[in-house]
Amino acid sequence: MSSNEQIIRHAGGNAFPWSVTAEMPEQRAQDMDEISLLARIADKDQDAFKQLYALYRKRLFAYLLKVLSQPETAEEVLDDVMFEVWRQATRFQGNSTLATWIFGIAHHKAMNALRQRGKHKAVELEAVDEPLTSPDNPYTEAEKSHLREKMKTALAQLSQDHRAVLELTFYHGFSYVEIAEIVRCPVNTVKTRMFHAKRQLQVWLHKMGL
Amino acid sequence: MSNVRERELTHEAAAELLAWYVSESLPESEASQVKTHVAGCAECQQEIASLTALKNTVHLTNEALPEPAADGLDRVLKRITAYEEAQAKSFLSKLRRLFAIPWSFPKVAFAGQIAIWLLLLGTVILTLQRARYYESLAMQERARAEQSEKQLAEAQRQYTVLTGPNQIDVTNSARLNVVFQEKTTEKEIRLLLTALNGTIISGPSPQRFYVVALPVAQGTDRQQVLRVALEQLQSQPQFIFFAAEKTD
Repeated sequence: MSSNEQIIRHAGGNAFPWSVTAEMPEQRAQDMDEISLLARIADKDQDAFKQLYALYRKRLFAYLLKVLSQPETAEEVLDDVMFEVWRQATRFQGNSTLATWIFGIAHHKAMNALRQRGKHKAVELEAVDEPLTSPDNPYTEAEKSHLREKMKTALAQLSQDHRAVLELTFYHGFSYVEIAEIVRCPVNTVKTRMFHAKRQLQVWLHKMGL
Repeated sequence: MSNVRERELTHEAAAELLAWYVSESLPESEASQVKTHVAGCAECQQEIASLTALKNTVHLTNEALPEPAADGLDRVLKRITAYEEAQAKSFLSKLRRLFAIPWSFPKVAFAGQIAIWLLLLGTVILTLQRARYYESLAMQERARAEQSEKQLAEAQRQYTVLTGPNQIDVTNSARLNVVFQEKTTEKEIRLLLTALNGTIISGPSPQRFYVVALPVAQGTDRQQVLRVALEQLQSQPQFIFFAAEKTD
């Protein structure tokens, strides 16, 4: 059996919640596509790697930037994460979704980078002047800018762990079980972190008049 | 949906799941339980509104993030190429990869063939070694036998047996059939034979007959020798029960 077949076989097991409950069929199809890519990567297919890189590049960078707060460091860690995906592709066991596995690597690398930097406290995100293009966003440009700045300030007050849970939940859409796997902690710890993150944010946003 | 009535969540259990209810990442069964609870809980409805606003603002902060550098992929690919080249150079890593690859039937069959060939090779080598060992043992035995033969030949050369049936010249001898008395001792027989210069060359037969050969010197009458010998023997009936010329 090739590594390709092995990865697909793992993916077909009962390791994924949706493989038992038949929930989220679209998500499952997408996961299967990504797992097929990883299987090809395990066989040293660089084209497949390029496709997977394109799929995860922005998502991972957004998460790393939020956790690390420095674009240069986030770039370096993104390189490390994707290189690790290439190296470890044969070791993916299918016990979680591919996204959970990759974000787990990213979280681990980000924490290492923070330790090396000797800074566990967040630094202020650099100001970004890119325009917002979402047509569904109900805020005006001025309101968005105002809110964004306030929110960045509030988020910066949170610990890395709390901010990670918020980002992984609200922006990346992971379930609490997946977040527990990504950050390598018990499920109840994830719920507790969410509770404290919400409370601290509410206090800060209230202080800022929001 | 199952006909079994779903277990109702407590307020605390529902409250701690609200964030993932809002982000729509709860499994369907849990989402349904939370929805049931929220329908009758004003506090949770208010929390959902708050969490929805929080979700939107988190999205807002992410929308404004810069994109990663465009050359990121090239950097990683260069790193991968260097890594793979280093791996290819490493013999040990090749071995590791060989064992990391999941075994398929052709690989198992190939490995089996290799194992059989190695087994055969081992058997041949072992057999050759054993053959060489036994050959050396045989050579040692041959050398030992040759040595023994040489020693025997040397012994035969040094020691000559002067008496015994093999030393009798059958063509120049007279032969007698002799029956000794039952009480004649070995010593008495020996003295008798010495006196005759005779040698027992056969016997005893079931009837106690011995064949005694008497040397006949060249120029001597054979019958004369016989007659003298018979006279001597017959003169001692206490030892000799019967004596006569042996005729073929």
